[in-house]
Amino acid sequence: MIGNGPRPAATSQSLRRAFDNSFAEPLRVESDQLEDLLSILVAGDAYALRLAEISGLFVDRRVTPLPGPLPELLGIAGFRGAMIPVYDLGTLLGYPGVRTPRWLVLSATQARIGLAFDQFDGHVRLPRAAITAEDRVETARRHAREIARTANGARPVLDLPSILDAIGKRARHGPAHKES
Amino acid sequence: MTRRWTFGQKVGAGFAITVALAIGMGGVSVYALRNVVASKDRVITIYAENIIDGERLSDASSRKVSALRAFLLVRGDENLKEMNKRREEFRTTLAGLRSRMDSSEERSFLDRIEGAEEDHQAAAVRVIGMRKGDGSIEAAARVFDEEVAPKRDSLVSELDAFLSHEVRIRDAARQAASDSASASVQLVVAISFAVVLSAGLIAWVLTRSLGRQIGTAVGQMQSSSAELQAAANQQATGATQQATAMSEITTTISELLATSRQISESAQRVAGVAAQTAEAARAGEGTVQKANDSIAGIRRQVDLVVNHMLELGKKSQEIGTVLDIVSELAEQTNILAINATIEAAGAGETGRRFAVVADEIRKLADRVAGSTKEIRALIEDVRSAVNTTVMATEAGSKTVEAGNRQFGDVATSFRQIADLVSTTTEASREIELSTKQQTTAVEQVNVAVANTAQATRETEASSGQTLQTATQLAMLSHELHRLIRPQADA
Repeated sequence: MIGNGPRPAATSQSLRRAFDNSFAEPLRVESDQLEDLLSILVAGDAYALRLAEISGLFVDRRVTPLPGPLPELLGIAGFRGAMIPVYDLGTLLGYPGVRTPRWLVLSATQARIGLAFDQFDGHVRLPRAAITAEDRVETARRHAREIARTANGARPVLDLPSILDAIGKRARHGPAHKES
Repeated sequence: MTRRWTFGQKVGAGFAITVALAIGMGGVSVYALRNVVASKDRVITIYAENIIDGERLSDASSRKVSALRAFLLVRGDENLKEMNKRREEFRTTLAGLRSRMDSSEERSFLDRIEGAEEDHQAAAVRVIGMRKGDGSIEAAARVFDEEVAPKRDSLVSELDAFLSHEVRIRDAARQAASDSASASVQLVVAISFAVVLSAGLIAWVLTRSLGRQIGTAVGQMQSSSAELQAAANQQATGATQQATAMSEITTTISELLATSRQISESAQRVAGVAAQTAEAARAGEGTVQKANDSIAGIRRQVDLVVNHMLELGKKSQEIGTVLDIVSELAEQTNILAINATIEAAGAGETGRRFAVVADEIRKLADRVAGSTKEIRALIEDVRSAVNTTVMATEAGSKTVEAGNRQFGDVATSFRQIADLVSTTTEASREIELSTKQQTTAVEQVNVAVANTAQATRETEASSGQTLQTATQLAMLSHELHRLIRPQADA
């Protein structure tokens, strides 16, 4: 009902006050024990990406399809004067079917690669202790070696270097290459 | 087809046959008597007269001879006249005899007598002639003895023969008449016997036939009288039951009379209540009309509410559109903040402060996005509430319409109720009137039933008498049957 929950005017004031207070407080040094993660959804499943491993987050960018033998290669897109190949993260993770993802991130590696996914779910900052290695990760969730335990539940943390390595192998060996 | 004769016809036929036989017998008797009388008459008249006339002939011839002798003695003329007279008498008698004679034998006798008399007359004439002349008496006597006397003897002989013949014939006729009379007597006796026999036979047949017929009738009468006795018995029983039933009917009718009076009073009360109901129905009709007006006002207000709600929904949609922009801005701000954070991280120590700002901007964008989601949820709630309200209001509007129609129906029903109550009032009055008439009729019926009960009691008494009469009739028929057929009763 409309009557339930905080009143919009109070929320607005609270937001303004919090924003102002942030500048009034002394500068805090971020601890090295904290990890920034991006929460995303791929084919309805929740995943997390390390913010340190990406160089940018974008939405609704125009991707020009590029004919090729790799089904996960959606095409190429222009970012700051550079042509970057964009891959479908869902296909790379082994989800079947064809999707039209809105969001994409750019890898922070030398060779920039775009990874497109369905939905951006927000930014979370967790202590490193909240990210644990998980040996019993399902085989369906490839490239996920850790689990981040957020307030909204646990979600696998995608290993971007592993993904990029897999892309590199497939690019080199063609579509016949199968990941182990 | 056998004709069934009545008693009178049978008895009349028997008497008729008996009378016919008696008449026949009388006729035969008369016929026989007439034959006997005729035979006797013939004997008496014809044969006796013939004998008498024969005697007369003898007498006339004797007197003629005497007169002749007297003339011969005295020669007197008177003697001659006497003699002629006697001769004339003789001839007249002879002619009478001849006229009655039927047989040739008798005529032959008469012819011979007539010839002998002619011969005697001729001799007498000669003697008379001698005497009239000069003849002496002696001569005349001699001639007389010689000539006249033999003629006289011959004549007498012929007359005697004739008389003997007539006597024989008379005796034969008398015997024949006696035989005829005897035969007639026998015939009459035979016929009388036959008549008596026939009368006895007729009497036997009549007795047998009538006895059988009367016996059958008496038997039927006996059976009928027994049935009549049983029927009278049943009738007496039925009359008793009928009298009892009539008594019960009288009681029931009395109760019906009391009930009719109660119905009349109830109908009167119903008429009063119906009049009050009609008044209440008219008042209800007015109230319904007021309620109808109120419902029309409610309907207008509901229409206004619906319009306002639709407007509210439209405004909510516009807020949603604005919120989409805010949300997109927050999303873009968030992206920018994240990218700024990434860039700040790449900038090293110098970017640390910028990273703080970017982080705060990202937090703000997150919170704005959260607030946007909340606002969107609120707007969705508002839209949902508006939709629910609009639907509820439309349902209410329809309900109000239905209520309006129902109130119209109620008003119509109230009018119908008023009309029906009016009809009920009239019907109640008619019922009251009819019940009064019914009460009068029931009273009349009561009187009639009382009369019928009286008649039933009389019927009961009459049935007793009928039963007694039937019993007497049965006894009478039994007695009659015993009289007619005693052997059957033994």
